[in-house]
Amino acid sequence: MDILITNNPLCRDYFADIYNVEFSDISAYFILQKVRDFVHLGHGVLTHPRAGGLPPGTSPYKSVLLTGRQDMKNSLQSLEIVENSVKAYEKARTEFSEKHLEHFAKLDLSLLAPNAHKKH
Amino acid sequence: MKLEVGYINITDIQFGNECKVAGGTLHVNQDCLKELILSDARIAEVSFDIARPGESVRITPVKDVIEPRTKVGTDEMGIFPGILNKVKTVGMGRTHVLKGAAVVTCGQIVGFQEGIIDMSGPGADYTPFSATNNLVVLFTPKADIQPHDYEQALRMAGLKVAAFLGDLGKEVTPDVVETYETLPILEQKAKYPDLPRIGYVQMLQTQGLLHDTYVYGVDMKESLTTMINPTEVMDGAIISGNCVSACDKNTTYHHQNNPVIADMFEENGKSLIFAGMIITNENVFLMDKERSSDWTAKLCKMMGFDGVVITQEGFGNPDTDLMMNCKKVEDVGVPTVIVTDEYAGRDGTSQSLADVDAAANAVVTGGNANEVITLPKMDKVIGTLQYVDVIAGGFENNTQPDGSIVVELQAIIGATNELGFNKMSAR
Repeated sequence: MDILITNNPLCRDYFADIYNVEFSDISAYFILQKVRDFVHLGHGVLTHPRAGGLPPGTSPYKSVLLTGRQDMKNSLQSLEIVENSVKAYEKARTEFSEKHLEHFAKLDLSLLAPNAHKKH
Repeated sequence: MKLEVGYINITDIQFGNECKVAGGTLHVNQDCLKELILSDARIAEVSFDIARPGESVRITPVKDVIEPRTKVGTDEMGIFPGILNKVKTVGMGRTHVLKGAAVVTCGQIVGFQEGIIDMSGPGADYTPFSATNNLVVLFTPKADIQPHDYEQALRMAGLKVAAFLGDLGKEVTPDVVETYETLPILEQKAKYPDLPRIGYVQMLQTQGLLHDTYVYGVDMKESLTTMINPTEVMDGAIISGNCVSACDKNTTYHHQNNPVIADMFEENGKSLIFAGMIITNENVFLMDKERSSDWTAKLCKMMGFDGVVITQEGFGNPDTDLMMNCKKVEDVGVPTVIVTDEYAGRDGTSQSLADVDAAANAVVTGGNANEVITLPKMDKVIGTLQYVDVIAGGFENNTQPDGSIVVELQAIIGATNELGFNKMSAR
């Protein structure tokens, strides 16, 4: 089963039966670091860690899908993409006001499941 | 395919009792437009305003900008095919354009929204829509509506208003008429045997909620890379559902007036043959990116292009699509020029793109979206300033005591547009 690394409760619940969900209540930056750890173990990224048109630090949520298999040990593409993403988030803001969290969570979910809104 | 475009110069918009175009003025009866928009039950209220070049006016948060156009002398073809009108192929016959007028849709879809148009002051220099007479449409959705429903309602309403206004130009004699023609491949080669055959690859933002682009009504993220005739794009075959990334998204107006298409037509038969146009998407999944860029390269090879221009939309992960397209097209032996923009930090010293490749050796930039600008207070705000601290390119407490706001250029509609529809670049 493929692995979803996320800090978004909506994604955790929506994908609970579909992916092996690794949920942690940590910042987007630390989610990306976790993704990098998995890539070093041989998992490949299936979705781009910088999906969406929001600059780093705009949304608190980050969800990245990885292969369940660990046969991507030499995948330079996965490593490059994740390294660049981690770098982009180094200085990203980590404090967010409560009032827009629901919308950010929905947007983050829609990147991985474009039709999810039809079920919510 | 041959398209005749008649440009009707519009120098002012006025509210009145009638809807008509007379003497270069677009007269608008608000009640007619209200009826048109409120036929969609998802919209609770709508109001209108006019913003003219040079006025002390700020419009925000802007969703889309659309140019009023209409098809003339046909019952079959309609502007925005597959979305507002029949899905019949457009790009032929005659089109009338209300040049100098634009419909600007404005409203909050989610809790963070973006897009500023200043009609005067330093910010006006960074957006093309400070130079158009803008009919601004402000929406209030029904309570508890979901963001995706509201986005669709607002998108459709903007198109309806633009098409309605465009129809007012059906019987008006245009100030200028231009003809744009593309020939079948063999005829191109026979007519201009010594000119290079240059193609255009347009990348379209397609990531999901608030990030979508539609082609003849098809959500482009569901499509394989395909081909389109550039004159079809002038007739509204591509429309924007992209509400994110104000500075480098392509509004519907940008699509209708794509400057790469305009310049390629200008040079067609002189220094090059405008040999064809490919449209491709920018999806979230890496597999989609691989497939779409494979198809881009394959189509470039099949078309026998001698070179291509590739334009991007958005930033961040689309940089990966851009590099895949560039590298794979170069690998099949077709030289590329790419058009992008930069996020190089406020001081311009950071890496500009999220992804790079040695094949990208001919790059045109639309400027640095992180550059900071102070926008002075305007006499009038159309919309609301409530979100300027949470918009992309805004930052907390960015409103100064004198009412001015400090933002990055990425907050301004079209500031670093990657079709080149802006004034910034670098040499």
